[in-house]
Parts: sequence; structure tokens; C-alpha cells
Amino acid sequence: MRSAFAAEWRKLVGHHKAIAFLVWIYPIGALMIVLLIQILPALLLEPVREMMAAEPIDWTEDLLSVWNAMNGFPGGTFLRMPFIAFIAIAFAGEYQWGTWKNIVPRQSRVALVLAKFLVLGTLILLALLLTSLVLAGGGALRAALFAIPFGPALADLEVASFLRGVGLQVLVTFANTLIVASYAALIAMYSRSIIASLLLSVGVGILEFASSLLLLIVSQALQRPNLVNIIVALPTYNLDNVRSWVVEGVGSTFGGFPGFTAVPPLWLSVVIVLLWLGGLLGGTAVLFRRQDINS
Amino acid sequence: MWNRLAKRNCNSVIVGWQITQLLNYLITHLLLSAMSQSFAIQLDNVSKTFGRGRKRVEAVRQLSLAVNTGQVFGFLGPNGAGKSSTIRMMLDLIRPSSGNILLYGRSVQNNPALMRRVGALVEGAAFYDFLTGRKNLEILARTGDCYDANRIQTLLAQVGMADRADRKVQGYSTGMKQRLGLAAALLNDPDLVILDEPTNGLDPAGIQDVRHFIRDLAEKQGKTIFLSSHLLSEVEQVCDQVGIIHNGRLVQTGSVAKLLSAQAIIRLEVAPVDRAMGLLLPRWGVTANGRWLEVQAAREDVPEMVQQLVAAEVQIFQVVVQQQSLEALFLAATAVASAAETAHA
Repeated sequence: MRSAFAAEWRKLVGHHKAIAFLVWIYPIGALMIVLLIQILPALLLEPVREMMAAEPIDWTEDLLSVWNAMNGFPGGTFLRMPFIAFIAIAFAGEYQWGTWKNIVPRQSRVALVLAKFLVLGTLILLALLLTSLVLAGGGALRAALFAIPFGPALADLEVASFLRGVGLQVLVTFANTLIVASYAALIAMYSRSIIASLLLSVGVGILEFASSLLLLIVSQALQRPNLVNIIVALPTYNLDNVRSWVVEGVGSTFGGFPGFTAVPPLWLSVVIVLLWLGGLLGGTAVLFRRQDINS
Repeated sequence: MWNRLAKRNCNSVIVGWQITQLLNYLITHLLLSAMSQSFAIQLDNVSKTFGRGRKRVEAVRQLSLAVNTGQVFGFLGPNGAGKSSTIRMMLDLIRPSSGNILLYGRSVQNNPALMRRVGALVEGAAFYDFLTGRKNLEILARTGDCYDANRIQTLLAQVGMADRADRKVQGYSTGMKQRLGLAAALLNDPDLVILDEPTNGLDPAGIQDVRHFIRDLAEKQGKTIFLSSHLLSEVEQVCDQVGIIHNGRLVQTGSVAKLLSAQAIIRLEVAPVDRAMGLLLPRWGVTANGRWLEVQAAREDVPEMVQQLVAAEVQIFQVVVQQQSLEALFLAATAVASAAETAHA
């Protein structure tokens, strides 16, 4: 398994174009935001500098902002699109390049699929971690350049609670990534084409977001507001609910949708997420074990 | 007293019978096991069907064959005959619809570790275009848990790719990819090497190199080679045994030398032609052409043929043995199979 992971890592990291545009785009994008939107205008324009100085910088918020955005609903759905594309390339690429036939006889199919999931999850987490560090570093740079109040001091911080929050966000993102990767992998295994699985995976991502709106519209149209509660069966809501319970101490009300009353307790959301994860990952592995490799 | 004796005798007979049964079982089992160990490949009644209903295609039909260890086995067949499907089943890339595939006496489907003894180049080498040739080999070796940088360098040199290994595969020609594929097949130093059209896309010099390379693998390194090819001359030059597949069925199999010698054409210049023809016809296929008779027979039959003719006072002026080519044999075998299938239909 370790060797399969090492091979997969080298392969995906070696796909420079895909990884640059679909994974490293996050920290690079964050760096661009810091330099071109936060630092440069402030260096050039006095009013911007004054406006900035009026608002103290909280590095803990900067550090967590990308994770919150990724795990938020519905914004996270769109932010995940480049990752979905990368996952589609990783799985469907093997069919399109005709390379499964080289690697399948060398390693168990389950190990190959798990290695892909682990490498993709690790790469995506790494990209988000770098993004988070770039954003926090950008805040520190702004504070230093323009004498903006910077905090909180480490002494004032409840370190354990803060780290628990960060750890939870990372876990939720990892689970989310694996779920999205499973969608993309399943689609790739059926379509066997990069373009088709890319479009379909993005479509599924949008559908998941749209399904909540659709449920809202249908429930309103049928005058059965409770219908919207079906959303609690979906993984995205439950991941948001887990985050909400742990960070905010209350369950996610799903943006205050009318008729939404079924806020599951933390344990139930965790179970639902685990069931989705197990079902999707297991389903992908079982499907791949039985699949004929003809390409 | 008699009863007791009879009972004792009866018990001894039963015990003796049981021991005999046990010995029989052990001997049979050990023999079968030893026999299957001597086979690198055994295909037993293997069939593969793709699709359902109208789209149903029987790619391989009740195919049975065995390849001994250390042999170079040529697998011949026209396009779409089922060669690649058979190879993919041997590598567990696709599952047979029925039948068993054993490698070194063990089922492919239940023993994924068996693949550590196998190296393969399947139907046109395909690699990650965005990586260099060397990186591709490194990734394949790591996937198979057999990474050794020195071995990769040695293999690259052996297939003539050492100086081009650090270029991206997207710039490689088909021939270069084939060479890289050959190196990839040998990464794990396999006992059994399965090669699907390994000389595709190579120039004539490259084809010669690869043929020598394959023979060396068998002769110097003792590897078993399963070579699928549509190049009959290649199979004739390289292989010890050959199997001809047509429409998913094995239509002929045997050693190349035997198959060829069994299908020679003996040309005889004789007089009188009629008497000679009357003598030979009951046993061999004979056609007359002026003073010449063309007899389809094995080369080993020539002395007997000549003796019969001399005994019947037929004058013999010339005897010419024309060895049939594998191409003629292949065409004849596939034509006979086609005719049989048409008649059956």
C-alpha cells in the first residue's frame, strides 16, 4: 500500500499542468489576492491604507477563512470545482491514457483505488493548508507594513480550543474531499473519459447544491414545507452540521430555510457522513474490482 | 474363532483398501500438482462474452491450451480473433465468462500475488505522456513494489532507450513506446513474459533487436514467453510452440517444427504418372501436373513413398521437398475453421 501511495503521488505531482491549474491554484490565488488586492492598493493609495488600518487583523480568522469557505454551504460547492476536475483527471485519465492495464497486474485493485483517494485527499489538504498559511502570512505582512493592530497574542489564545477547531475543519474538508472524489471516481469508471467525468462530476456537485433549492421550491409549491428536511440525508449538509455543532455549539439550520426543522444531533450527522463515506468508497472499490479493463 | 479371524481379515482388507486409496489420491494429486507446476500457463475451456442481447460478442470460445515453462509460445490469429482478450484474461484485467486460467498451477483470479511472477506488454504500449520514460518505469516499479534504479537503467540500456529515457513520453514514436513497454514488462524480473505484438511500430533493425532480445530471455534467462503476433515470420523465427486462434477458438496448436514438417509438399517427377498416382492416392493427397506429382505429406514420408514407387517400377527423376511456410499453414487452418463454422451455421 505504501508503494502504491508513493507511485500515485509521483504520478499526480508529475502532471504539472493539472496540478498547477487545479490544485496549486488555491495557494497561488491566495498569494495573488494578498499581493494584488491587499498590499499593492494599500501601498499606492492613501485612502485604502487608512481604511485598512482602521480594521485590526485577526490571524486566527485568516487562518481559518479558507477552511470555512470550503466547508460552507453553498459556497464550498463552487470552490471545490477545480478539485473535482483534478479528481476526475486522476481516475478517468487512467482509462483515457490506457494505463490501467500497466498498473492493475502490479498491485491489488483495492490498494490502487485507495492510494488514489489518499493521495488526492493529501494533495488537496496540502493546497488548502498552504492557502491558509498564505492568507495568515498576508495578514501579518499587512500588519507589519501598515502598522495595523495584529492579534490575538498567543498568550490570550485558548490554544487547545483553537487547534481543535482547526483540526475539525481539516477533518471535515478531508471527508468532503473523499466524498467528492468518490462521486468523481464512480463517474470516471462508468464514463472512462476525462471530459465526460469532469463535466458529470461538476454536474453532480451543482446538482447537490441545486437539490436543496429544488427541494425548497417543491416543498413551497406543494405547500409541504417539511419536505425540505430530506436534505439531512445528504453528506454536504451533515458535514456542515458537524462543523456547526463543534465550532458554534448549535446545529446548522441550513441557512434558515423555511420548514427546516430536522437538525440532527452531532452523533447522527457523524454516522450519516461515515455511512456515505463507507458506501461511496466501498462501492468504488467493489465496482473497480469487478470491472473489465479493456482500454 | 473363525468369526474372529474373518472379522480381523475383513478389517485388514478395509485398512489396506483405505491405504491404497490414500496412496492413489496422494500419487494422483502429487502427479497432477507436479504436472501443473511444469506448465507456466494452462487455459481450461476458457470463454469470454462481452455485452448482452444484440450486442453480445463471443470474443473467446472454450479455449484450452498449455504452455510449458521455458518455452516461447507464439499466439497467432487474425485481427479480432480473441488474442488480446485471452491475454487480458491471463493478466486478470478481464474476467472469463467461464473456464479456468492457471499460471504456474494456480488460479489467476484467486492469487493476485501470482502477478509478481508475470511481466506483460499489452496491446500497444501506453504510458503517462506527461512524464519521462524513466519516471514512467519508476512509477510502475514502485506500484509493483520492485523499485530498483539500477535495474531500470540496465533495462533502458537493453531496449536501446538509455539516451532517450529522460525525455517526456509525449515526444516518443510508437517504436520507442514499444521499447519502453518491453522494459516495463521486465521490471519485476518475471518468470513469465507476456508480449502482445511487441514489434509493432519498430523499424526493421528494431524488429531484429527485439526478436534476439526475446530469444535471449528464453535461452539465457530461462523465462517463459507468450508472444502474440500477427507477423508469421516473427513467430516462425522466435517461437518453439504455436497456437492459432480464429474467431475465439484454438484451431491448431503444436511445435512450429512439427506443424511445418507435417505440412510439406513433395514434388515428384515420375513416369508413368498414372501408375504413380494410383499408388500414392490412397494414402496422401496428390495432384498431377504434367510429369510432376504434388503430394501433401510430411517430409518423413518421402522414403516410404520412394520405396513404393520403385517397387512398382515407377521411374523417379526428381524429388523436391517444399517446406510449407507458417503463413500457408495459418491461412489453411483459419480457412478450414471458417468453412467449418459456415457449414455448422
